[in-house]
Amino acid sequence: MRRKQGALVPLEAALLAVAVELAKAGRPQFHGFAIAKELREREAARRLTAHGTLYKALERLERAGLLTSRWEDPVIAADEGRPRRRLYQVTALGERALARARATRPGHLPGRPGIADT
Amino acid sequence: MNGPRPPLPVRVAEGWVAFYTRGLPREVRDARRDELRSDLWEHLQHASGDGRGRGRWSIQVIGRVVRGMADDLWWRFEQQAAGRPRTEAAARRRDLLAWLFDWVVGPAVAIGVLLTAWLSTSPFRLMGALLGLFVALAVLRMKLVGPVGNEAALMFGVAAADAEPGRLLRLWGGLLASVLLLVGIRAYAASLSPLRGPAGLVGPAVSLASIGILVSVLMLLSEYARRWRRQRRGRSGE
Repeated sequence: MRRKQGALVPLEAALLAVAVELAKAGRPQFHGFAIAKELREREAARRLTAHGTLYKALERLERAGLLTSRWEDPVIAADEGRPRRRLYQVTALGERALARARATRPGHLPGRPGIADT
Repeated sequence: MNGPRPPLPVRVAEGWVAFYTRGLPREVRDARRDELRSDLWEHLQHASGDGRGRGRWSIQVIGRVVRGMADDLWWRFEQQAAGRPRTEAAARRRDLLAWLFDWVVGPAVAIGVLLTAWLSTSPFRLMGALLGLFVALAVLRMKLVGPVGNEAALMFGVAAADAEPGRLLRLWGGLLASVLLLVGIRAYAASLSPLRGPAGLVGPAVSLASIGILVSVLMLLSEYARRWRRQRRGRSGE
């Protein structure tokens, strides 16, 4: 079935919902694994989102302007002895898209209902 | 080589990402590989921290790789589609090539297969060669025009070429698999389109695959016709 122009599929809406909650909790930037983990915990799911599914969804959200991303400074990563992270952040457009999704599908998204509307 | 060998799940995940990003522009390829490397590292740290050990982590990583494979491949198709020519002249050349493949070369091969099957007393050698040609053309079209849908055509062509004379079940299987594949790809592309805008990923690109299905139907009909002729000859010989 074809979805409406600009509509979010459930995974995209869920990712935005978690991103908004993280921002409200003082963690506006997140990397891929972090949001996969948050999503699993909030949805009480057994499994983490698959790599391909997760990163494709994040990329589509970024292309639609609902998220932005940047690569962190390689020096920081090197200092901490780990690979550098790609850090995502939800945009104002993303918050509005989430609010619309919540309005049309209340109760179907993780996190506190209506958080994006506040 | 220095340093310890990475654990098996990391090698599997990195091998898979190396495979499906092969041939993509360097920045796209490196970004995806780096992002996955970071994910694997964070995942391992998390697993080590929660005390559930490496066994569980290994299963989770392999599971995430396998469950995401279809999306990875689709992502690759999207990247390739995005890398298509953007100038008007290049787009015109690509459209002309697509038209030639879809309406001249493909049908010519399909008709050749049908005529060979129908007219020749021992058609299968030539039919096999023609189907091989069909697959080769599908590959060529994929390279020159674009990947979406043609990968399906290629897979279908292989399935069709695999159908040996008298093995109707395999032929039907190839046909069914190709139809399901096409329906799946179309549905998937349709589900992607709203965020991408009208990218036109599906429309003309499936036409060669449709020709592949036509070839299969023709092969099937010719197989029935041959059986019918054999039975008739057998009856008249009695």
